[in-house]
Amino acid sequence: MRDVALNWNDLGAAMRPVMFFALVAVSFPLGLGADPQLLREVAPGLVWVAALLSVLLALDGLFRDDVLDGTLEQWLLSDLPLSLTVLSRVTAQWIAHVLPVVLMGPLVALGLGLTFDTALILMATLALGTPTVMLLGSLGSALLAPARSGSGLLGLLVLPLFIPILVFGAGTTMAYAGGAEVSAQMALLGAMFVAALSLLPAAIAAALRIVTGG
Amino acid sequence: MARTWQWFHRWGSPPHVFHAGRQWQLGFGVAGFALLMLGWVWGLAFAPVDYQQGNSYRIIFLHVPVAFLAQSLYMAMAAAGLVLLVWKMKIADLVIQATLPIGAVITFLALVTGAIWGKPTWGTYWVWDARLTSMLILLFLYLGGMALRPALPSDVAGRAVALLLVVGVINIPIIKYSVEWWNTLHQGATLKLTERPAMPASMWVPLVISILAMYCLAGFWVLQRLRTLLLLRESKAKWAREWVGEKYGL
Repeated sequence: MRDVALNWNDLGAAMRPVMFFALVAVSFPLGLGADPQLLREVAPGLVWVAALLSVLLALDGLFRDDVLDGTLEQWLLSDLPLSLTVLSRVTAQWIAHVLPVVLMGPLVALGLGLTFDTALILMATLALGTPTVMLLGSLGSALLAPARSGSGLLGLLVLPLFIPILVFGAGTTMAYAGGAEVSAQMALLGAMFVAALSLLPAAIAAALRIVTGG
Repeated sequence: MARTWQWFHRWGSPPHVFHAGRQWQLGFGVAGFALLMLGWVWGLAFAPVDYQQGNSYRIIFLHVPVAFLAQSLYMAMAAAGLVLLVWKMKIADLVIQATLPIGAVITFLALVTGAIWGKPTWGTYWVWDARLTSMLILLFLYLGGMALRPALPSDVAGRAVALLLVVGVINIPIIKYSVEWWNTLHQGATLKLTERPAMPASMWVPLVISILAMYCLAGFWVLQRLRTLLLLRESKAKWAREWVGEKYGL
């Protein structure tokens, strides 16, 4: 909770991913042309790619200050398992930085010409998918915590790992827009989230232990 | 059990790996070269012409071996990564370091030879086919592993890379599966090879030989890099000084 509160104190930083998301989303029509048919077809993929990029922004330096100012050592010394501390940190970051993107997503999608229903499905895929992406990305952030210039590298490390979520997130929305039943794909996205939630906090904790030499 | 552990310890000791590795390297080199000559001469000159693709199919004798290898090398590195994380065997770090660039080059080669093969058979160098795409992602996984090490302090970089590789290897099947799902959703099989007759033995035997040859050569190459890295890391150790002294008369 404290992390969420702290993030709200620094509202400017917390708003950066969502503003970035909006700008990327606006850039696409400008680059692709304003043809409504085309925009409607590419909207799910476009919103998802923009969302992934803004998650990258939210991940940048997630653990860097914690490593530099010794907070991480306090976590290591504390009675709480490191994976739980890490999980709460990632959750807080998701709420403050990525949740706005999830809420903004359907608005952008409506602007690109998706129907209301499809935009809601898109929001559901974003809500189910971005936490998984956030957890995967946090692993990259943790590995790069002591690196001096991490941000460019982060994308190279974690974007390939995001691909399944991108495929299913955008694909589900497109399938729904095409009139298909999507509960199975939704269930798969949910399954990936559960798998990520159970495995990745431990991996992130291991990464933090490694990079601090513990 | 005791024997197994003894084996384990011996292959964890730098001088043993360095000297015994030399024998293995020699074996791999000779076997790989001989098999490659056999497989390629047979495959390129004597195997029958494909009735659909003509002679252009012959790139299979390079393409398929490197494509096999690209994936096997990643698996091997991830296994080494697990060994490093669980048993903290330092040699595993060097194995990863030795293998990464080789794997990246091999993956790149698989993509390039695939593109060259794709042009005459599919009429295009690249399609967003599931297998091509997951191969491209594999290349990025290799490049990510290579980029991570220099960004980190050297005492922690090895284990960080190992963790990344292990997570990557868990992800590979998920990526493959999702990419296949994505591909079948989006495009019909317009650019697939049409029904192909099962390969006659005169084609697949030289292919299998070429694959074996490529594995041997990769073993040779990895050992070469591994031994060089060992020598660099242990340059202060007695055995390393003795070996260099003997070899170059210093």
